[in-house]
Amino acid sequence: MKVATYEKVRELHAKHEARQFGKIAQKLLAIAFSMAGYRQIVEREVQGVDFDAASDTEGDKYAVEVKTTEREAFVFAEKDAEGLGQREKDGYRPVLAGLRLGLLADWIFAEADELEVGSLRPDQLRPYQLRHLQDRVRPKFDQALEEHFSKALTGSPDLNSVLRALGAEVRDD
Amino acid sequence: MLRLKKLTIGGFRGFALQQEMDFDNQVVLLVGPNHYGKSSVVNALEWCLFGDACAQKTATGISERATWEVANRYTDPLHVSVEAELAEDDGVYVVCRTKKTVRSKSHEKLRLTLPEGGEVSGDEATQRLTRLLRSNSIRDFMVTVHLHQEAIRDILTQDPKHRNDAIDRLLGLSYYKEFLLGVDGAECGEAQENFATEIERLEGELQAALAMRNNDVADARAGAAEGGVAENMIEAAAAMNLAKEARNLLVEFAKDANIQCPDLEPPALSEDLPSFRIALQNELNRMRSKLPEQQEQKRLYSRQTAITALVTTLQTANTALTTAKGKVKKLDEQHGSQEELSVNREKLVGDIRGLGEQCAQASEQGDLVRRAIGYMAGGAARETENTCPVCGNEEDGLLARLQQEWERKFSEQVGQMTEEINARKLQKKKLDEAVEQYETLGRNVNDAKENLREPLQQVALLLGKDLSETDDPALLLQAELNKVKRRLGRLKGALDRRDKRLDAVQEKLNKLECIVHVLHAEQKKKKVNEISESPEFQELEELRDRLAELVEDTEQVKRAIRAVLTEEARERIDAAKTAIDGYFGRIARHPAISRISVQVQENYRGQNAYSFHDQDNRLVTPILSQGDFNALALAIFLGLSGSVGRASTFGFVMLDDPSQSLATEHKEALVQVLDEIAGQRQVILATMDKETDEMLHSATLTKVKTTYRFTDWTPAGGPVFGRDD
Repeated sequence: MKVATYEKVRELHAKHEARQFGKIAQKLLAIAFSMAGYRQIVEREVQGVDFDAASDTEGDKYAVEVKTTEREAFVFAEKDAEGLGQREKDGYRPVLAGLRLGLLADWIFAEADELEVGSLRPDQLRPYQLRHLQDRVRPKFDQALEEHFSKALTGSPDLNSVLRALGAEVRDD
Repeated sequence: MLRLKKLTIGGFRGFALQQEMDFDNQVVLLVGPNHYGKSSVVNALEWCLFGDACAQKTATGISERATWEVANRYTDPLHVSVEAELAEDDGVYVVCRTKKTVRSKSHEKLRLTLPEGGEVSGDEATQRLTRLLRSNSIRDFMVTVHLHQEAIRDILTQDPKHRNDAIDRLLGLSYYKEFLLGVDGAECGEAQENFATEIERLEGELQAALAMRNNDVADARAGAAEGGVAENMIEAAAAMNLAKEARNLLVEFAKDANIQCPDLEPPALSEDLPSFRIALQNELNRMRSKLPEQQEQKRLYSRQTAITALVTTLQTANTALTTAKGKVKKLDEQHGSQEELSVNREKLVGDIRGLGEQCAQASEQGDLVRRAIGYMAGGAARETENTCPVCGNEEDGLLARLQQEWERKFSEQVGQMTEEINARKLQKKKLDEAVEQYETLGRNVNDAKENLREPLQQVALLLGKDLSETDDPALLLQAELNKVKRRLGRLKGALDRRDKRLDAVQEKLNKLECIVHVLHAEQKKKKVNEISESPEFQELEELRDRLAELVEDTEQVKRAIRAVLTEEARERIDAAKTAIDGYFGRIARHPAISRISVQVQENYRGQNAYSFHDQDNRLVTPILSQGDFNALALAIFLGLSGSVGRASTFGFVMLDDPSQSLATEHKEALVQVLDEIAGQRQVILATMDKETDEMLHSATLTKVKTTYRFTDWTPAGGPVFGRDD
């Protein structure tokens, strides 16, 4: 992770309580996916998988569950796996996107159907990394954070506006 | 499956001399009292196959074996030799293990004779033997082939982990267990954790470094703000422009001020900004010190200082002269003049001299009169005292009267003259003092005049002209001072204009320094960024990915092995369940248990967990007696060993006193069971129990037997046994 990105993420983490920070990370990542060419975004604030991202041109579709931690592990719950399983039935590739808040860490996008439910260390995600997706989205996350940092500081509603402006559907029910 | 054909034992534990035993029948019985060497026979086979591992607690799990002596202590030299002939499908293998102890050092050798002929020894023999035994360890052997009381305890009475391990081995699953242990021994997970810990340690250090760099940047930015640098100016391009502007201003100034200026090309790279700023600063300092107006100003300030000093010196000298002259004038007022004073003094000197002479004359006359009176008083008669020697007149008491009168007149005259002289002398003294004052003041005036001469020369020098009598140096100096001040005033204006231009350059340079400082601090911060983007770190990440994949792969392999382990255990138990149930029912004859079953499940650690249940699926272990436990252990051991069939490595079982703590009816049942097992495997049984011995030789048993009867034992000769034919 770039130093600038790390510092901004840290600032967001310090500014918001844990749950709200998770939501903001989720929305920023959805924006990054959109910027990376996955224009069809359905972002869910309350229920279900965090967001779906599909490419208009390449046809690949991902259902993404976002997890952040500043400790050693992510909690991949049964309901997360079930939600992703449902999306998989609809043709979405289930992805667990994990970000450890560390200077030498970065987003890891792992094939969620390969993962066991429970506490997962980032290293346990590595064998199932979707490298092409990481290479494509990680730089866009830096960019998304750079461009929308002030909105991210104020909270989710402003980022919802950004997502909507990008053509994303934001579901808050 | 390996079958035992023959054993040759020498120097091993109870065996002193080398002795042979054939195991050529399906049932081989070793019968005799305790301590006659029966156990040494089965132990010799263990040692032959597994070496000193069978004398270790860790390898066997039996505490008593920790103090085992392999060599027979009554023979000298200590030389152990055990040779076993083992028949396998492809022929007969001869395993020969020897051990010599010389001067407390043991030398063990292994030799393996192969079915196809030929012989291997050393490491190759060890490897071939391991393959022949299919990696079964001594512990595997002890729980699957050699049933003794410790094995029974392992199966039933020790903690669940040991029991599960023992049954796993009993089922011939030790290969998988060893594989799992090997995978765990590679410690991939630990390596991964250490890797992650090291990365996190590095990350911690980097984060601390980043915090320091951030402080540096914040300080530099605060400095820049104080220096009037706008936030949007703090970037390389703005700094480059600022440097260019400062340079242009300086070059233009040099041209206007007619000062030579070296080439100052603006840098092409922002990295060169710091050195360029220093070069500009040095040039600016040089120009400021080399300005012509500044040189002139310096000269004029110097002249102003000199004039001011000279004015003071001149004033001091003039004051001294005026003071001296004033004092002379005051004396003149008292004494007219120095000449007049001199005349008056000379006159006084003359008066004093004249009065002195008069006084001396008067003194001489007086002396004469005194001598006359003396004469008169000394030589004259009474009558002469009354006669005047001058006029001859007589007068009573004339002499006395004259004497008194003279004395009076003379004294008065001399007294007056003396007073006169003293008065003149006093006057002269005052005049002498005035003369001295004149002389002193004269010197003072001369000194003051002398002191004035040098300043006047300096004034002339400073003004560049000779001073005439009519010139007032003080006025001339004041005029010159005013002139210098006017010129300084004019120069100050010019210099202020120059300084203003140079100050403008200086201001830009100051801002440039602030920006450069911030950029430098940010550059250092970027170094932290470079670490995570460096090829080395990327390589580290790739290594970490590969390690994670390896760990995951090994975990999958372990999961697969465990799954196979559990599946095979279930299969084998399924295959043996009827036999186990049957053996237990026949040997134990427990009134409450009509059927017993063994169940296997994978526990939370991914290991096989075995449990024993009755016909109602209730756990039976809480209600079993010691005899029942033995019966259950025998049932499991015999049931499994019977069901493993050809999958098992060993085609024989060895039972050491299996009938201990069994009642007669249980023993009978056991003997029947063993007879059945002998249909599938060679049974080697050691017993001290006469009842069991008799039962084993009952006519009801069908299998051909070889019986060795152990009748004695001596330290020097070892066991004495004979074969029943």
